[in-house]
Amino acid sequence: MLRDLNSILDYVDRLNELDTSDVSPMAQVSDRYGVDQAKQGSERFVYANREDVLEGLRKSLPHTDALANAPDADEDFFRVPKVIER
Amino acid sequence: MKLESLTIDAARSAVQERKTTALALVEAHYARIQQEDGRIGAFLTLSKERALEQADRIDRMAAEGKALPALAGVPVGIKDVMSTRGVRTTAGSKILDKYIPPYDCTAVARLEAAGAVVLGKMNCDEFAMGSSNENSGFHPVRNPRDLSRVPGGSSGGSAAAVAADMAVFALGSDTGGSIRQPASFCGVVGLMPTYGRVSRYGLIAFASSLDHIGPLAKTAKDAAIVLRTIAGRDPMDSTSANLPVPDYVAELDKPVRGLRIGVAKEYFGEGLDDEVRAAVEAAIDKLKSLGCEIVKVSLPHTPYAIPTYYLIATAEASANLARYDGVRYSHRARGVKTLSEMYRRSRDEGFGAEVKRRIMLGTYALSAGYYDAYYLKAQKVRTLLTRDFDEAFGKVDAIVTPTSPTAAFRLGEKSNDPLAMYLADIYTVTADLAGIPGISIPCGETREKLPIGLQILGKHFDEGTILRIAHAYEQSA
Repeated sequence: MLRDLNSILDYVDRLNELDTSDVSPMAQVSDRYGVDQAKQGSERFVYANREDVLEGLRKSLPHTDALANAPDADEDFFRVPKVIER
Repeated sequence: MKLESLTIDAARSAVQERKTTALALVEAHYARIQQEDGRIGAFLTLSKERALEQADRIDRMAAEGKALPALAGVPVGIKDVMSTRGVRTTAGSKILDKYIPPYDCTAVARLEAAGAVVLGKMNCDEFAMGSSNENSGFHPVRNPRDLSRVPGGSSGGSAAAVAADMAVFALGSDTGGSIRQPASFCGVVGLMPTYGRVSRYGLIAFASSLDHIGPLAKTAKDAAIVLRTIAGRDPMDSTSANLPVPDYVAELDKPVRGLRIGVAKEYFGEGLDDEVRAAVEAAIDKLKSLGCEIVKVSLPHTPYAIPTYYLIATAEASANLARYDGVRYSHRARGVKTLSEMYRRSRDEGFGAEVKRRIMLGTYALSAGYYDAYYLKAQKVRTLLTRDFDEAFGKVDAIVTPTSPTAAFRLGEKSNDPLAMYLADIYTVTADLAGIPGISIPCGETREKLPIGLQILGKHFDEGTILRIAHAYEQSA
């Protein structure tokens, strides 16, 4: 595992061959596309619309459904080993 | 009429015209699965109850003479990274071996609303991390064209099922090439739409800025039909684009004469297998004979795509996979005394080696002191790679490349060298980084009868053009 990780890290080092001092980072596609500068706020983005504001709150997942896959639970909570070690 | 060799169009028409029933179609495909899948390993879970209920619903509509929806009665396989309510969904991982989702992936829901019949969940590389389907937590998938070889990955099960007529079409996911590369290895069509064209709600996340859902199918027209059904804004996915969905099928037969097709030298260099090169060049000549103008373009930052991808994707994966902690729905180790022991041992037991490798790499790339050198640097190179495409698409309407440097390799051939495996993605990762659409279509075979794939890349939200080119090429062959 260590050998593999080291060889991958050596390989990715080649990114340093590029001068990116004047380049802005791109975290996601919508940083560069679908931007309508004429609009305001999130309206500018083809990708991001606050429909939850328009539609109101949606119903949550029912309690029993949410607990259904739990390895260990009671009727209300997921049960886990002690969180605070004393 | 061989019920297992139909395209979507043929299958749906047959049901509408009462030449067959949805039930007969489903049964023919389950019989085929029973016959072939022991050797291939494409399916992880079969959803017979759900399939039969849906088929019955469609058959009753047909009996009442009602007009049937676009995918009525058509059997489909769903890659196991997409949640299906009430049907076990594993993401190809032991850590989710017993997970039963309480909701449906939007893309699946849209397919079923259009009448498609979900046969089952397709095997894949664990959490979609891999290029050969050898990283499945359960068993590898074998290429139906040569059982000693890989089907490609990570959507190996989806591609193999369509290639072996075990499903009429399948849904896959693509983060670094995982729809297109297995399509190319198995000899089927694989379409990765523009980022945001299809909702990711219900897709078990690997890398959120790179993940895409798309179809694997027998023809470009079938891919167009599926895309038209699953695409479109979804309020449950804030990254899904608020743009209308064109009728991709109606645009298919528009002539390709006059389209400018870019050929980038960086995709035809060292490492490209001679037989693949020859098949792709012949395909380009064919496009030229159909009236397309072939234009030389350059995508100079291509050699930096793999390191960029493996920093961004692993960083995002390390965040997305943090949720598998044994608390709410994933495997929990037994006999643990503290919470941190539970996290550590559950994840150690549940995750395979490749997943662990990527989580560690990603965590490292994001860690204090290394964030700038790795993750931020990769994001800047992502901008440079995307600019390459912006410039090229100023001169051409589409770019054609080989999908993969080689045809399907043998099982075990690359599994000891992760870096060698990563380098197999060289022609596909660039599209994921830039968010542009890409399709792989069969364009020939090697001397050993292994399929070769031609990749067509398009501008953002211009799936219509790449589907049209794919369809024209298919019709001319």
